[in-house]
Amino acid sequence: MTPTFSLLTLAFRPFLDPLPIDGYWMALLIPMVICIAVVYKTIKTDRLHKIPREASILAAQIVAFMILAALALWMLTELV
Amino acid sequence: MGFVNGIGPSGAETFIPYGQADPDPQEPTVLSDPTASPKWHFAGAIATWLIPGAGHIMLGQKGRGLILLASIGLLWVGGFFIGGVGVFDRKGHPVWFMGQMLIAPSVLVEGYHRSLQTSVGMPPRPDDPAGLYQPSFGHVHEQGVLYTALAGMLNLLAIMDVLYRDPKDSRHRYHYRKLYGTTQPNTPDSPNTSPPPETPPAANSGGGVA
Repeated sequence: MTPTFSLLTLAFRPFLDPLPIDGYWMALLIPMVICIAVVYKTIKTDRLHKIPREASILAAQIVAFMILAALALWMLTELV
Repeated sequence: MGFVNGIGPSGAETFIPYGQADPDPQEPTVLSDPTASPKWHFAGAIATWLIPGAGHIMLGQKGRGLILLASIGLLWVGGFFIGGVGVFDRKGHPVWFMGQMLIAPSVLVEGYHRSLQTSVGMPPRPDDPAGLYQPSFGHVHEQGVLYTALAGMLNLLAIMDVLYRDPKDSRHRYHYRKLYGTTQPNTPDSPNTSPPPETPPAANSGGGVA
């Protein structure tokens, strides 16, 4: 096996190889929460022009409660 | 199927010419037509399973369908891109795959993933330069699986929304209020029973049946 062959085959192949983002996986929760909020509000809201505002509020609420839950669990493990 | 059916304040049915009922150009009419379009929409549900949002587009809610297509599609493609083809693994994590398979393309990708595995049905080693794909591990694998399974479960919400449509739901009441300046009688938000106008208001080109 030549080094050239090895370099070629180890290059990133989209949708075949995983992205090397293991270090900041937590940031990926934000787009996921936004998508959840948009889909939920798209189904539930009566008028489409309300979706940006209502989805933003829902996404902010989800993130806030995730942070609160993380803080509560952290305190539980640190103090108890 | 030339009319959209609405219910007047007295409870009597009011017929509005199909395609010209909605004064708001931002969103087509979503009043239901129980005679021409039943409450159950199996074809729309199957279309949503195949392509997220397609069922809403079929039922005339193009804007809603396109938003669902963009958001659910982005989540699914994002998970596929993050974790690679290895996140679709029916044998490795069958419960997560139940969520993933709520979007039809997941089944195709899982079959493709299986075809890339070695002759003994194992994924290639991560450091194998001749491997047809690289299996994912750790947080990247978790995020890929979570994104795609979540996209499938959100698509289930869209499928259920298309499958059964109650003509009296809040979205329809909103349109009723928009058309007649009041809500339907005996609804919690307004008991107003003023009669509707003789003819529907001037309309635009949008329209559809939900």
